[in-house]
Amino acid sequence: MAAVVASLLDPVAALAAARTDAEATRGLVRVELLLTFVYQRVLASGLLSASAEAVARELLGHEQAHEEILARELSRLGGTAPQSPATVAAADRALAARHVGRKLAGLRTGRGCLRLLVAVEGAAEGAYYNAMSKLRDPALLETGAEIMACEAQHATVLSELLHPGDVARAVPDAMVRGPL
Amino acid sequence: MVSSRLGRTSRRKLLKASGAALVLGGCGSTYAPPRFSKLPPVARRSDVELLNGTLDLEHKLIAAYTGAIPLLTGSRQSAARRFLSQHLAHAGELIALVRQAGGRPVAPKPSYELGQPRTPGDVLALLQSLERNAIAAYLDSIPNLAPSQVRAAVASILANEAQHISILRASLGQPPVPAALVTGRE
Repeated sequence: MAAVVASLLDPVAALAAARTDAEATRGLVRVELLLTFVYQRVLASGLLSASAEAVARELLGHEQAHEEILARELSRLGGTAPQSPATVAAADRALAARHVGRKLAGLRTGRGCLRLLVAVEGAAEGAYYNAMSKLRDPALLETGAEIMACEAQHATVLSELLHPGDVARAVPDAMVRGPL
Repeated sequence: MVSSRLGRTSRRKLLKASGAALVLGGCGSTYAPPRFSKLPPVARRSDVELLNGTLDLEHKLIAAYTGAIPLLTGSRQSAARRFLSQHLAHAGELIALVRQAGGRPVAPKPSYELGQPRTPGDVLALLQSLERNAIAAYLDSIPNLAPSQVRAAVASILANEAQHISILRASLGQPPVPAALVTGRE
């Protein structure tokens, strides 16, 4: 019950409060739905350069694959799937709840889009980092780690688009935990 | 000339590099290492073995990057330097975890056979191969580790190795993120 109430208020707290694999997985599905929504809106904005758009489309494909894999696991665990954000405003509220200091609304430039995507990938890293200390099922742990590593690669690739050749920005930390 | 400089990384270089890792291990990392809850002795012993297995791979990566850096130039060399420092941090973290679990951290070997890469491309491919091996080993270890916070710490190291691979792949003209799941087999 505490986790349900927490999820209505703060998805980060909800994941932290998760006591079962189903609860933790549901939190991760929610993250992937948010990521997918953000990528789709960024692509639809037409603000990205052709090369950045090609990269973003590929990464969107990965996020959709993540959501499908985790949704199947959630179903296997008997959990109910969360809903994708219905509007940009809802997505921005979800981003704020995850301490992402950027918004979909008001995106004006390709660089602004990329900065948002980097920030959202960072939030995803943090969610998976927290989930890794909650999950118990061995297969879920392995899948979670594989996806977490992919999100870290996404952040690296997006950072390279923003700051080509700046490896300090692309790979800032020896331990990937999302923004602290 | 290129091949002989990477063939066997000298004990002196390894000692110098691993000394940094041991110092890191002694002082803790940039955040408080995860605390171990009280565990049955069996679980802790198995964690030590798993953690030492991945520490052994980090020692090899440290040796490889130490040998590789003089063979690279420009941005590739800068990246290799950064990745070396991160692998030293990984080793320090794993050393701290092994000690917390009551174990003895495995030491680096006196030397490592790293083949005879002839070009910078060969060097990068070697590093990529070693990073992939490390990812596969970390993935194998995570579900078998007992303390939950330790799993998160190990997953965070794995994710960093994945970022290294992205940069290395891009340097080799390969897609930096080839798959939705990072398994070490890509």
